[in-house]
Amino acid sequence: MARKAGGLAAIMSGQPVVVVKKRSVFWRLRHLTRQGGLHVGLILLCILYVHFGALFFMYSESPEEQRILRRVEKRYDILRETFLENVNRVKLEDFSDERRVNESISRLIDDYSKHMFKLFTNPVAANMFDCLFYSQSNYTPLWTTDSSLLFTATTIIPVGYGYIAPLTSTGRIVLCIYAAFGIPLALVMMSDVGKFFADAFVKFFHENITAFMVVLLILLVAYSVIGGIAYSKIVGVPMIEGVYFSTITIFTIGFGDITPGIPVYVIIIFIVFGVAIVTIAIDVVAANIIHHIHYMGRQVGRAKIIADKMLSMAQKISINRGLGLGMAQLGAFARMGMMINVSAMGPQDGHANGGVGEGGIEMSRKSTWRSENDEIKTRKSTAFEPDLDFDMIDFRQPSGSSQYLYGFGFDNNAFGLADGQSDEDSVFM
Amino acid sequence: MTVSMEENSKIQMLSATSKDKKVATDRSLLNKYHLGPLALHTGLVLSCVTYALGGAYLFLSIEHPEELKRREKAIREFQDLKQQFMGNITSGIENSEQSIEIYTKKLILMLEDAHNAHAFEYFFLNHEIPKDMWTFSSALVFTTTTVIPVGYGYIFPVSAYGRMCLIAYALLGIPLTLVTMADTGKFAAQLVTRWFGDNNMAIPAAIFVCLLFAYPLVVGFILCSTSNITYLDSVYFSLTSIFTIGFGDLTPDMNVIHMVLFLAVGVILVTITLDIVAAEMIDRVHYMGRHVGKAKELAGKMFQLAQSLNMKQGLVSGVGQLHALARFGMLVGREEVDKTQEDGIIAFSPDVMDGLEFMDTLSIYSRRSRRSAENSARNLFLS
Repeated sequence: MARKAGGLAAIMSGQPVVVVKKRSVFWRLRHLTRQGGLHVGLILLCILYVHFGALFFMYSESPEEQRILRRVEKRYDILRETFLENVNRVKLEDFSDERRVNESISRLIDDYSKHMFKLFTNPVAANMFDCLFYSQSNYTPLWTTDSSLLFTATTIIPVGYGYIAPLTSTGRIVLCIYAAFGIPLALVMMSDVGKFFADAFVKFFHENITAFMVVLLILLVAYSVIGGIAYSKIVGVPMIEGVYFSTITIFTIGFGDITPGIPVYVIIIFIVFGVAIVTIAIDVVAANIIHHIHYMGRQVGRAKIIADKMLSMAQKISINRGLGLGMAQLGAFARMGMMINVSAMGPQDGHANGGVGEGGIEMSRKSTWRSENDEIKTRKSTAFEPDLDFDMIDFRQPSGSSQYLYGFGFDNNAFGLADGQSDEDSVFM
Repeated sequence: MTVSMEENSKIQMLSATSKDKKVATDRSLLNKYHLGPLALHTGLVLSCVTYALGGAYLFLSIEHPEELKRREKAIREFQDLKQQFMGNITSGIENSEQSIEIYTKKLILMLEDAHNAHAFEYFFLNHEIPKDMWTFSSALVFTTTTVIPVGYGYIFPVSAYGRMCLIAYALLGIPLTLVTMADTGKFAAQLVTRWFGDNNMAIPAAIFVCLLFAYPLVVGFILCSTSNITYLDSVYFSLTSIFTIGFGDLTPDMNVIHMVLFLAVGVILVTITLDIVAAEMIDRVHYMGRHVGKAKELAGKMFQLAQSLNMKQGLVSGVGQLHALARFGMLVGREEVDKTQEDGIIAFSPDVMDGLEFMDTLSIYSRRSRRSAENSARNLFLS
């Protein structure tokens, strides 16, 4: 125990020295700039893409909207004048017979309603009637700056409310291209931002994936409910409608049956963060589930888990130590891979004999005697003795040095972690 | 303390041995019948289909009575409005123009509601027996486009109870469906990767991107030949569908089964393409500037190595090998920390290690290091 404490003290005392020597303020600023520049650039690119798309669709669809508006106004005036003339003519001609007058007027009303309904199916006409009757003849176009921005944002984050949609052929062709390039861009941006939060959460939970999954699901449900409550408070609708709208939004279903009465930028920010949370939740939770399901019966999931562990370990070492040690670490990883590869490809019989001999030599060591007995028992119970023997050869050579007496504890920890994963895999099997 | 550690290690080794025996037995049974993985994947797909069908029945039973009630109310309101308007015209008390303004305003206000518009369309325009919004077919399209989050909005629940059910239904159904689609897509990606991409991922990525752009064009052609819309509108509709935008501004006449299959295959294709192309892009962007991408590549290579060893030598040896890999990883990490501190020559390490790393990478590339879709550690399921 005393030597272990000395080792830990050496590690902790050595680290500030390295930090003081290597990391100046200038280096730190340059490092942060290089790290953050690409991410911020990606976010800005996404914002510009949305805004320029909004401008394009507004200028592309507004002339068509104006043309349809004039046509609808003319048709509405004609319908109304025709109806009034017909009503007056019916009154004058059939003044004596009241029943015939009522029947004629009823038929005229039905025809008028029919034509009004056909007009109303056009979204521009519907918008015109809304403005005509609710805004006292002050027309608000469908394609304004705000509505275009909401349209492009909910296109590349594929919510797709459908409040407005392009009507021209040019608009639809451009929308196909715009969506095909914009959706991957938005997904990359949101996943990139989400991964930062996921990394922070993983560190916060000390890489306990189960707790992380539970917290993610709670955060997802809470975001939906809190967003719904806030929406219902602002707009003045029942809470169930608010929660319904926020759930439909952040899962990118987007029926479009509820028109929100809040500013466009607030909706877009809500959508971006909500969809990012959904992305990370499905990425972490469903990815783990799908790994276990997809690799069921093939024993590859466990290798993948250990590979991910090595990845996270390499990531931590690389981040903590900086460039030089990170490169050294990568070189060590590559050499280790080659070593195991060579040992796997070697002839089995010769190594088996050599292994037994070395085992006999190592028998004299007091600290490994019981492990050796357990290993012998394991050999008797399995049919692949030479391969395990390779493992012991690779493992025992470095431990001959006195430096690796500290590593023996790590060995037990690694073994424990592997057993933990074995439990998890067994459960899934 | 040393004795206690030895005891702990012994107990863990014994438990590992017993687990290995048990898993070996299970695996022999699974290998004998080859049914484990296939049954599980098929069960996932069947549970997804059952979920959609059950949801269709649920929403139909909830919303259909509501629809009938609202339709009767709509017809009654419209008849009252019509009678009032007719009375105003025939009595001559008010001005006709003012009467028609009031009538039109109230009519438009009624038509704002989707149920009223639907009832008006079929009852007054066509003089037919009223056609239901919520049939089993339309409910199935609704549930399918909810869990594949397209969301056309042709029909949607209006009752409070229906909306609460939809919230729970979406929260459970969307992850289930995305997992099923990603699982199915992963099989397809593996098939294409094994067939074409033995050395690099460029060819499978190009194949999937071409398929992704060809799919809306082909489906658009099929759709415009069998339905009532033009080719451009068909391509527009199919592309906004498989990217799950789903404006709902076009309503092509389509068989429900064809619609569901079209959506499922399209979204799976999008998932595969994003998994192969965009996931790699995400990893490169996310880890830019931190030199973890190389570690990820090397971890992927180690993963392939472990996979090949595992498949060659079987279960027990594979498990031992993986334990050895983990132990070596910890030891090597320890070694490098000590070495760097003792040497103290930090400024010169990058050059030396750069050269060594290059040599090792060259040696690794000389061997047949296969790379598959499994290297993408993170699957991207957003859609």
